[in-house]
Amino acid sequence: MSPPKRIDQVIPTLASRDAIGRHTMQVRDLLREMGFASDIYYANASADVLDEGRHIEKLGDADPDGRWLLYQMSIGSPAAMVFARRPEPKLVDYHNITPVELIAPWDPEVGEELRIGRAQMRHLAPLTAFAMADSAYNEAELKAVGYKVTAVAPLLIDMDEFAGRADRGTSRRLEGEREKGGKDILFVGKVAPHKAQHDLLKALAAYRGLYDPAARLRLVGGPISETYSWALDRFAEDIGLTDAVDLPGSVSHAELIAYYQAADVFVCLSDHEGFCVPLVEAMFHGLPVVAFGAAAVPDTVGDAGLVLDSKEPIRVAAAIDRVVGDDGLRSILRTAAAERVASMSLERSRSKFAEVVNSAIDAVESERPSGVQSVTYRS
Amino acid sequence: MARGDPEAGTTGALDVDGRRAVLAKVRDEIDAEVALRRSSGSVPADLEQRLDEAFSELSPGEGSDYLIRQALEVVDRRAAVAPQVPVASERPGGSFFKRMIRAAVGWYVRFFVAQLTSFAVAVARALHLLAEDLEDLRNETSTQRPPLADGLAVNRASDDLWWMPLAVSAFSDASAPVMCGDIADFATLRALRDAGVDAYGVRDSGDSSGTRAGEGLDVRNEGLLDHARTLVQGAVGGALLEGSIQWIGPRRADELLGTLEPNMAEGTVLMVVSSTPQAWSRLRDPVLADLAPGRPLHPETWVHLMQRHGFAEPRLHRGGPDLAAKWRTSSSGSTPLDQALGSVMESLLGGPDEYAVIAARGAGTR
Repeated sequence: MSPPKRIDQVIPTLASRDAIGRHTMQVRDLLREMGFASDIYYANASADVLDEGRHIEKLGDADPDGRWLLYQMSIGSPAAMVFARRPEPKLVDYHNITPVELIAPWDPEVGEELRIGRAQMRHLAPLTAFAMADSAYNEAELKAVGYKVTAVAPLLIDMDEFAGRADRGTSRRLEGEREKGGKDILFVGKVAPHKAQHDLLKALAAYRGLYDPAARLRLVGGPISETYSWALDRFAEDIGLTDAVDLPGSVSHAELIAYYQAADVFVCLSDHEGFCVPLVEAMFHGLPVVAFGAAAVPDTVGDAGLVLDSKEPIRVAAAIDRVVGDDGLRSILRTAAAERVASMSLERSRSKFAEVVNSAIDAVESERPSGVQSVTYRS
Repeated sequence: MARGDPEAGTTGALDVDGRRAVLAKVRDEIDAEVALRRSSGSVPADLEQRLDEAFSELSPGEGSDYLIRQALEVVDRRAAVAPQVPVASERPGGSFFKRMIRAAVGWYVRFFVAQLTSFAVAVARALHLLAEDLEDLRNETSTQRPPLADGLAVNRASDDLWWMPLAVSAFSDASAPVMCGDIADFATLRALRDAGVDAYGVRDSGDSSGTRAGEGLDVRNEGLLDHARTLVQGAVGGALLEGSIQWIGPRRADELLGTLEPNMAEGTVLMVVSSTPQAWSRLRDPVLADLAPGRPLHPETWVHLMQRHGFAEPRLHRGGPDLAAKWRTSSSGSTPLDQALGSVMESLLGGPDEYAVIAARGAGTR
C-alpha cells in the first residue's frame, strides 16, 4: 500500500466551542503542513464553522489509493456508518464515549446516542487500520473492544485560546462577592449527570459545615439534560445552598476567564471524563486542582493536582481546605501545573501527533508487521 | 509535610518523584484528618448519608419499567412529524426563497407527513400496549421481595461475630478503608472500628432510622452493586460482603465480584460472610426467610466464583451456632435406632450455621 496523498477527517459534529471540534481543525492544519491534502467532513456543524469543512454527503467518489480517512469518534452518529462503508484505509481518533448508564436514566435520548456510539465503536474495530486515543485510558478502551494497532496521540489544544482579558462586569461582580469572605470553588463543564455536579454540592455542604461557612461553588457550563439541571437546582434548595451556588450556564470566553481568575480552587468530581480540557485550562490559569481520579482524569492531571481515590464529601472538603490553606502545597501544584501545561503545548503536541500519524502510515503500509501491536507515546 | 511548613515554600522546585511523594503524604494526612474527625464525632455521622438520601429522592427511578416509560415518552414526543420546514437563513433573501419553496411544495410534503405521523402514532400505541402487557407480566411473575417492615432486616444467623477475629486479621494491614456491605445492622462496622480497622458501611435502605449518629460510623446509603460500580482502582483496602449477598442469587453474586475485582488492588482481601442454605430455613424470623428473593449460596459456590474472578486461594471457615453438634452432645443413646436417628438429624441440621470465605485479589489472574 502506498502512502496517502490526502488524509481527510470525518466528524459527527464540528463546533467551534467544543474541544474535539477545535482539535479536528488543528489536526487538519497539521496534516496540511505535513504535506497531505486534508479537509473536514461533518454530519453537523455550528454556524460559525460551516466553512471550515463540508457536509459528509460531499465526501465524493472513493479513492482507496490516494486518500485515507480519519474518524473523530466521541458519540453515536450516522457519520460513523458513512465512514464504515467507505473503501479508503481508515484511521480512528478516539476521545471516549461516556458510559450509557451514567446518562440514560436522566436523558434517554442522549443515552441512546451513546449506546449507538459504543456499538459503532465495536463495529469499526475490525475495519480500522490504526486507532489513536488522547489518553492511555482511552487507548485501553480501544484495545478492549478489539482495535489491534493503537497509539496515544495528544489532544491538540491551543493554550493561547485560554488567554485573554477577563470580562470586566463579571470580574467586578465576582470580586464584590469575594469581599464578603469565603473561598470560591470552581468547576467548568456541561451540567450533566456524569460530571456529577451534585457531588460538588455535597462537598460544598461538607466544606461549609466543617471549614468555611461562607464558601461558594460556581458551576460554569450549559445543561445537557433538563431533568438533571432541575434535580441540581432542587438539591441545592433542599440542602440550603441556593445562595452559595452560582449556575451561570454557558458563558463567553471573557466571562470564563473572569471565573478562573476569581476562583481559589478548581474541583472536578466527574464520574467519567475522556480527557477534561477544563482541568488543563485551570492549570493554565494557575488554579490548584482537586479531582476525583475517574477514567482519564489521572492521565490529564498527572502530578499537577491533588487526585483523590474517593469523593466522599468530607474527604473532598478536607482536600479543598488543605489546598487553599497550604501555601507550600499550592506552590508545588502551581509549579507542577505550569510544567504540565508546557508539556501539553500546541508545539509539543503537534510534534507528537505528527509522529503518531507517521507511525500509522508505517504500520498500515507494512500491513501490521507481527510483533508490533501497540505503539504508545507518553509525555 | 506540615501545613504552613517554612520549608514548604521552597518545595515548588521539587522533581517529579519528590512531588509525587509530597502529594502521597498530603493524601495520607487528609485520610488521617478524615478518620480523626469521624472518630471524634466532630462530623455528624449521618451527614453523608443525609446528602445521599436528599439527592437520591430527586434522581430518576431505577429498573426497566422506569426506562421503558422514559423511552416511550421520547417516542410520544417524536411521533408527530412537523410539516413546517424551518425557513431561517443567514444569506440575504434566503429566508424568502425558502418560504416560497415551502409554500410551493407544501401540499406534497403534507401528504407524506400525514402518513408518517399516522404510522408513528400507530407504532407508539403498539409500544404502549406492549409495555403495559410487559409490566403486567412482570408483576405476575415477580420474585421481588414484598416490602419488609423495619427491624426485619436480620442479616445473619446469629449475633455471634465468630468470624470477626478472621476479619480483623485479614484487614489489619489494609492500605485504604475497608468496604463493608451491605450492612443491615451496625455490629460489624462497630466491631471493626473497635479493633482499629478503618472501615465504612454500605447500606441499601431508604430510611435513616438505623443510623448511629454520634458513633462516628461512616455509612453510605447506596445499593452494594451501585457502590461497587463507583469505586476506582485502589479506593478500597478490602471488602467484606455480608447481609444482602445472601439473597441476591448466583447471577448477581457473579456480577458483584466481576465489578469489584478490577477496582481492588493486587493482594487486597475479599471476605464473604453468609449463613448456610440449611441454616437459612431456620432463621429467627420466618417472614424474612420466606419473603427474601433468594437464598444463600453454598460456600463452595463462593469459592468457585472468587476463583473465577481472580481471587487467589480462597479459604473457607465455618462457625456460628451448630445444632448438629449440640444434638450430638445431648444425645447419649447408643442403640442402632439412636445411631440411625443421629445420622438423620446430622444430615438435616448440617454443620455450623455460618461460613466465611476469605481470598486475596491475585496478580494478573484474569
